[in-house]
Amino acid sequence: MGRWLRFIRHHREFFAYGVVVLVSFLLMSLNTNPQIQQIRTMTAVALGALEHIVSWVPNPISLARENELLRQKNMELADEVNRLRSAALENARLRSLIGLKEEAPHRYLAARVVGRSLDVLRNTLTLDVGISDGVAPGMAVVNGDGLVGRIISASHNYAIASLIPSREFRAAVCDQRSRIEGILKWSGEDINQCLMMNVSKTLDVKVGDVVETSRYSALFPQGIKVGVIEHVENDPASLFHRITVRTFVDFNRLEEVFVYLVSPPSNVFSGIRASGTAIP
Amino acid sequence: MSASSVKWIFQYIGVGAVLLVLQATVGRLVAIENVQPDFLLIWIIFVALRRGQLSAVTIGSLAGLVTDLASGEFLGVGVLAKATAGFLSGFFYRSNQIAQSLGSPWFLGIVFLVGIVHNVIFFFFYLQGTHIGFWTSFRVLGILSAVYTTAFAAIPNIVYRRRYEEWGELSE
Repeated sequence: MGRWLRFIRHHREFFAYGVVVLVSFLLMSLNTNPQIQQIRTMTAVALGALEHIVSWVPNPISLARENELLRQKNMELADEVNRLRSAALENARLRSLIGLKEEAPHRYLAARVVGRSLDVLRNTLTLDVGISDGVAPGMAVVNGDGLVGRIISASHNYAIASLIPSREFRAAVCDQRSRIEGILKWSGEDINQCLMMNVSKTLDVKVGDVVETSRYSALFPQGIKVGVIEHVENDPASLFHRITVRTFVDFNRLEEVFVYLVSPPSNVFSGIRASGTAIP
Repeated sequence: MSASSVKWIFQYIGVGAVLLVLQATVGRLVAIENVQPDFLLIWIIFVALRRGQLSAVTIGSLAGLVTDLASGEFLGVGVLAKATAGFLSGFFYRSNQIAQSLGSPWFLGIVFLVGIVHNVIFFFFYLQGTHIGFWTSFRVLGILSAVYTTAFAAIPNIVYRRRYEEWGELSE
């Protein structure tokens, strides 16, 4: 016994490392465990509060750039509002003629980004809204430019959102022009670049087409803009196009977002969390 | 455990907490295309060269756990990557050449090497079960992150080089 203890003491660094490796594998295997998710939610509260305190630190470079972009966007939106007003009047007149029902307006909750994940490759945001504001896991997160991601966990006052550029993100999307459907996922390289999967080579997609969320998506409302098709490659070894999509949202500069206050069906979101591969 | 050991453990955890706050604030400000320098990784390697392998594994696993929890998803991968970083960098610990190790250009080499290994482990396990290719992602983000972290490691490196030139070797 004493010999063993001496042996362990002599190699304590290796034993300590071995224990940490075992614990880390155990944690990885228990990721979908409800208790572990509960711990993560509790930690989100504590870290959310901490990140909220330190989130006052301004970024002057990003602020100057944001101001410039906002001025430009303001001009574009003012022009678009004018055109949309006349289109809305025409739309209402035509809808009444063919007897279509009005669509319910989307309900959004404004949220401030108080923290971001600390590792490369992990792309999550901590938002200053939580269950007390009506936020729940699975809800879509958007901003003025388009789809940002979805809520993955929420505590009383804070929520964590997973962005489009993250490992488990999938969204059913379609080409706005040709209505061709596909699955959107992150490419794993550029944070603002995604891939539109499962689009057959015989289907009509072009560079410059806008991609938006599909009506078949169980998680996201239809018609949220996602990005624009940047490349369409023909891989001779595949039956599908390799389509690269440049997102409208610049994920390097996210300060404010909006949470779409409609929960997806609970079985859809729990299925995604459990397997990590289900398609929303 | 002696009073001095307890003191330095709390000191190191305190500095780690400050660096965590810096990572969440300054890290965002200096990020290039969302790639931040990993201040905590520099800290773990510093602890390894200052105190040895066991301390670095302990600090590394704590730092990894906190970053895992802060991201709110996939617990365990940060613990494994950062504890391994501490374990590996502990092999470079020399009890009678602490300031010399921290102030030599080799320190930057160690940070780069350990940063690459850290990212290989992190990317490999993090991307398991996804459609994102390991190499596709690692060749851009993994290498860039290790290079950027190494660039920031020059700050403690310069401080310790001057300290070594002026004051000589540190006591353990």
